[in-house]
Amino acid sequence: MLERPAAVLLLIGTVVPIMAVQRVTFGLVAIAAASWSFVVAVQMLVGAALIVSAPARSVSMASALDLWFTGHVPFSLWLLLAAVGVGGLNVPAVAFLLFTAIPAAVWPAYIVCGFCRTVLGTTAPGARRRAAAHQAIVWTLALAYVFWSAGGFAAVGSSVARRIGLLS
Amino acid sequence: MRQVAPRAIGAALLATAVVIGTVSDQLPAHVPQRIGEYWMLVGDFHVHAFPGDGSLTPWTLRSEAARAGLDVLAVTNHNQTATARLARRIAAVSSGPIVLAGQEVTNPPYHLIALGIVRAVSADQRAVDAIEEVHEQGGVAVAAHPDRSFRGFDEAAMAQLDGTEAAHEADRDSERREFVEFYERARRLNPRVAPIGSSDFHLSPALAVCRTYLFAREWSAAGVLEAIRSGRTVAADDKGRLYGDAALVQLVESAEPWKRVDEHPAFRRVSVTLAWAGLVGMLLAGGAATGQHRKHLVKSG
Repeated sequence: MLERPAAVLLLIGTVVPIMAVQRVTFGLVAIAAASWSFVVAVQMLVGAALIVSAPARSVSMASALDLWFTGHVPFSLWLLLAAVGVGGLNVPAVAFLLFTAIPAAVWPAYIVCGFCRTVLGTTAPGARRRAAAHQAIVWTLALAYVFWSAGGFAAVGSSVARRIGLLS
Repeated sequence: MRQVAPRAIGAALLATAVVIGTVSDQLPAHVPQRIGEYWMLVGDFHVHAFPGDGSLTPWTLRSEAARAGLDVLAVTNHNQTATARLARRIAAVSSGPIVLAGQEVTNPPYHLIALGIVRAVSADQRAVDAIEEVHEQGGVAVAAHPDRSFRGFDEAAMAQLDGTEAAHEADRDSERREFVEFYERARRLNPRVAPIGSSDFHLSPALAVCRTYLFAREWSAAGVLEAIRSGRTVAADDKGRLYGDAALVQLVESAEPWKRVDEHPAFRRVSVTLAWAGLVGMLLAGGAATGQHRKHLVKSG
């Protein structure tokens, strides 16, 4: 039960110290997992909302929630790749994370569609609607966090413009 | 069985990695050097923390700062001071490097590091006004990564700066030159402007990869701010080059300051490699289990 969300939490808790300080200790993993646990919590809440609203699901709520986290596999792979690129090879973090994030961002939509059809028993259009809703909610929350933490919309815009050479 | 084995192996590898990493982890003791009437302190004044766009929490950052040989650290998130104030509160009740509450005042034409402030500085104003607001709060104002694209620092603002990042993490030498050129221009307007070296740490590269050496009368937050205001600093870039007053640069060179210590690099690398391999194993096992589960669901209709 809920092995996958626990594994995702462990993965985030381990990858963050690998990238940031190139060390793995119990304290570093525990603190990183606790502080970034809101990512898993948000995914669980969104998943729970989609699961309870599906009348034809074939498994229990807990099993469905566990399987819901298969949609996190692309993001997990992306994190593992980032741990090597940023933590091991010292590739510039922002450029690396941005370029490799594109497949990690697109792929989950297909997995969520498959999840909705197989586990929740929805129709193909229903699965697409649910996947679209999931993507919209997750990306809205993620971008809200990015804009808040980076100093606002104008700050993010000017930073992106500088990185691609529009401001020099 | 085929599903469980890779997952168990992955978990075992990860557990081994954590044990090796934890056992081999030693935080070396460090006391700053006393040079004449001054303490030579080492600082990183531009660090981002979680919650915010930094990856590490304030309490983790502080122990990493100690490991990196820092005596003082400033938490400077974009346009907010909540995380920095939390970091300062934690520092007040535990031992470790001095923590300054700060902010990276982030406005598209300029980024300004405000150090030693008590509340957030509005970013919605000209650089010279933001600097004045920092001074009103008793803080010091440092131009952040002032390359040519940041045109918000006019002469009036440059003359009011307490410091400027003469050394900042950079990918290209041209950027590094621009930071130094800005420092030289600011110095012509204000001979006491302090050269500052900062990592701008978010996730990588390492904390304190660029750093500031300070000659402080007191080993305290007030002593650090006074040293910056008086311009008694030397900036060090990621190549080890030093910028600042020639006499102070010579003092730093002769002092052979304490640097980052990696006591057990082999154990650290083994631990990280095992952790990564363990995570890959667990992920693959999870994927295999999902495939089988899906087949079962499809079969059962």
